[in-house]
Amino acid sequence: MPFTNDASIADDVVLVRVLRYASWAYPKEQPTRPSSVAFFDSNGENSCFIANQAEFSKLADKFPGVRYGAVTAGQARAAGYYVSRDEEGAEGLTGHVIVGFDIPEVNGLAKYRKAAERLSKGGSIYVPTEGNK
Amino acid sequence: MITMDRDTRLEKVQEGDARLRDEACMHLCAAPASMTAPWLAAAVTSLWDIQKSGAVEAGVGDLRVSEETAACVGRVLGSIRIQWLPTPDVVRVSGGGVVLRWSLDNDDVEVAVLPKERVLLTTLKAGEISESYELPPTQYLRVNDVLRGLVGPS
Repeated sequence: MPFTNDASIADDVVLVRVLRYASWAYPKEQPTRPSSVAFFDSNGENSCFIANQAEFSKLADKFPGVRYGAVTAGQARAAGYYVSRDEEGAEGLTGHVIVGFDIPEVNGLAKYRKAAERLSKGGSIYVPTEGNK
Repeated sequence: MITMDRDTRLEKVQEGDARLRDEACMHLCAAPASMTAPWLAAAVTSLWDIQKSGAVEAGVGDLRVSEETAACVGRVLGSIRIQWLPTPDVVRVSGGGVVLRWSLDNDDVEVAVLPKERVLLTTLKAGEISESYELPPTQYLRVNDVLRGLVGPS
């Protein structure tokens, strides 16, 4: 099913990406933000969660010790991505969205790589608060 | 000139499963020492580690790397004729891709290998992208020129 931008997700909504590997955060030693790799899914479909809808306790059970990278929906759109709900794509994990990039036919990967760089540089490391753990 | 002896080269692949280890041993034993490089042994070992693990993980993505993609990474690595390079980071990308990244001072050379033999070569200076372009299979040797720019003439 093709994904499309969901305008009901406001630009100021915080989206988090599970930083599954240390190399998905930058810099590796003391990360301050996601790395570009985190937003460079080969199919252009980066799996993320709306921060205030995500169940971080479940995510922590599934991915012990991982960090989370955060960007806003507005930052994603400004970098050229779309944001689309995908509740069915995360096996019951709530708040799941796709931060996607339609990779153009011509020179598409280079454009995608630049978009990933731009998005990751605007990001931060997200620490769930007591209220949303 | 520093070279790894045969035992050291073989130790680099001891972590792999038996089949891969055997293949690696055959490959390394067959290769003349002058054709091997420390960075290459480390990169290949990391690639094997990535390929033998990984699964579809809901909430993250498809973390499997196919044999075809790993083979393509191998062809890119095999096209590099420079013996002395920094050891690259070998990074898994969701959706089945692998990124190779060589870093020296503030410069980086990155080769992203995505499924269906899509290869992207990117150079970065002080964290900013200088160039980024796709490489068709006939042009993997161009990686040598970019890597020479990273490490200087040898």
